[in-house]
Amino acid sequence: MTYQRPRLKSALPRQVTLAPRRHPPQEHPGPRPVQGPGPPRAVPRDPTAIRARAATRTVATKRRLQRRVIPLEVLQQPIQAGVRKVFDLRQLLIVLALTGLVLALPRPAGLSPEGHRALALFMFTGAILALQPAPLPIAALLVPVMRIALGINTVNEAFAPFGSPVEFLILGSLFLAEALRKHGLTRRLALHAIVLSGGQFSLLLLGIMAITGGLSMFVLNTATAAVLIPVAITIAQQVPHPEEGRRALKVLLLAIAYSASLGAIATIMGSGENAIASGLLAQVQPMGFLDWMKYGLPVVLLLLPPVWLLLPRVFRLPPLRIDISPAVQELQRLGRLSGPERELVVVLLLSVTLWVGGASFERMFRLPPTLLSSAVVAVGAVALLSIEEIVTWDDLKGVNWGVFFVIGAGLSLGDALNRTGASQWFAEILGPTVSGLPYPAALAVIMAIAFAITQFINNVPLGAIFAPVLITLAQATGMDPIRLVLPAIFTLALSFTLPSGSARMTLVAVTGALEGQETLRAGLVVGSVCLGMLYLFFLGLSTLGWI
Amino acid sequence: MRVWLIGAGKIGTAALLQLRKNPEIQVVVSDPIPNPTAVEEGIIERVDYVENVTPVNVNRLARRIRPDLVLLTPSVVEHGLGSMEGAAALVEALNYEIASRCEYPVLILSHSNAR
Repeated sequence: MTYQRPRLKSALPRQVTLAPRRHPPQEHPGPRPVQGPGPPRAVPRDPTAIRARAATRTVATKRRLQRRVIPLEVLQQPIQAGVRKVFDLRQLLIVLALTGLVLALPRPAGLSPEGHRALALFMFTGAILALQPAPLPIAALLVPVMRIALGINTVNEAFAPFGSPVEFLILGSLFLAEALRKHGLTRRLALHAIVLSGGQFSLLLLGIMAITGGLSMFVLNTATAAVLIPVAITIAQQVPHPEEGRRALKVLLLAIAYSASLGAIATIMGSGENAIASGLLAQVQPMGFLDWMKYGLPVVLLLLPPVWLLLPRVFRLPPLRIDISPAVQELQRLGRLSGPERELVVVLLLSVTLWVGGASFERMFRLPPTLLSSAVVAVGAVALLSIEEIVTWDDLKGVNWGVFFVIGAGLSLGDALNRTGASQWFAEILGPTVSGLPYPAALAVIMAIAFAITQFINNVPLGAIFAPVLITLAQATGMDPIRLVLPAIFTLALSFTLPSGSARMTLVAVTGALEGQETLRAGLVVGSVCLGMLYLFFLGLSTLGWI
Repeated sequence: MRVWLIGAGKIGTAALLQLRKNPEIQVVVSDPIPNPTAVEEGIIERVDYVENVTPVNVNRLARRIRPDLVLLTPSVVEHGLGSMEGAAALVEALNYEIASRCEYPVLILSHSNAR
């Protein structure tokens, strides 16, 4: 484009915007005399017919090639994913109407007026986090505002949960994820996994899943998945046959999404619903970092291998070998870890050590109680990275504040339900039914409901809804809350079928690499197997008397 | 000199306004939509390639265009991913992968270019 006119226009020479060029069939000048030894060549009789046959063969051959060789394409779908109104008045009116409906209903017997208003807050929270008439952080902040508006609590009590330690643990996790992303460590790990696999796709898949699941335990799982999706696209391009490359991409994308969700089960900070549930559980019994991890980590180790085995079979992917030379070259180009990157790795490893063993170190060194609690360790790690200028405030302020505020909203709701006696009323209504059921049946019902709902609604709001109800239900029936809460919360991670279930599945859907039916089929197969294994895990713990 | 500008939204428009200071520069514009900000504001009449550039197709397009330099705009909107969670991280990772894979020199423009 040259700028010879006042208004710019993009006008390229025609040869730049290439159109498919058709070379006319070569004209035969007529029969040629035979020269030298060799069999005599057939002499064509009708040059026009020969040209027509040659053109037909050329076009037919091209058509066959075009049918067979369809290049890999991603992200070419119409752009609709995530494009939504900033503010949707209609959905806000639906939220308010549902809240008003609960208020308008007669107050149930046995429920205090404050508890009735807490039920309305429960409906408001579920509706506004599910429908999101405003951006998620704003929707979440409206929950304590509604709590005040309904006269349940004052402003101090309504916003107090936003200062709970688990909030700062999640904030630290968000900041650490940002540090990892800034320095490209996640990508570097993935490149090492490619090289170590030696080109064998099944080993490469295992490596990618291990990295995704491992990182998702300690940093926000969506960010981990987002960084690895382009790596998966690049890997799929190295598969020689395009059709197998497409299938390999589908397997890789779903493996990343599933292992990000599963890995997050392991720790409190892995996902928002874990943070909400642990924060509410901690009000009734000890629920520290290690208390959660001793259930979460075995579940992750139990569920990742079947996902690794099942996904290639669901897509009928044959054993593949890929070219790892681009990954080798890229690692050579990146060179060794720089100073800041090495420091980041050390800080992360130190943080994980303190998260797991902080309480033990406090006792060993006679430190003030909770000095090495998980929230303090997270904040300390970020402070250290900031002092060393490995991350700056400009890097950190772009994190996903939505998760932070949704957790606060969930904790605020749980607090309101407890204070007003609404959760006690729930438990009195549902308690006789649950206590009459044997534990295996109650477990199956709760997990089935959680599995069904989590496919449609994001996990974090569901955690805010499920956790307080199940805790109080367990208490009313004389059961350890862990027996009901942990299975339900872990099941929420199995949102594998629809884009609406989790941000990871939305990212996978946006690539356009998978059809909706393929995602649904794979999600149902893999999700059902994981659900069954999770059920047996908790049934086993119950049988052994460990929960 | 031929420059391939990937993305003609706000950041791409700012880049075009700078590039037009040198009339010798030829600019090829690609964008996922046919009427991005640069077209709506009349900076350019049309987009040369209405296609979302990804690590998969970047070299195919680059071999057609044969640029001397590629300018890549990082906006989530210009990649067409909307405002969903994780979109910014995905776009940044995609841009980095595009820059790594492309056979031609690539510069990723920053958000400060849009001011």
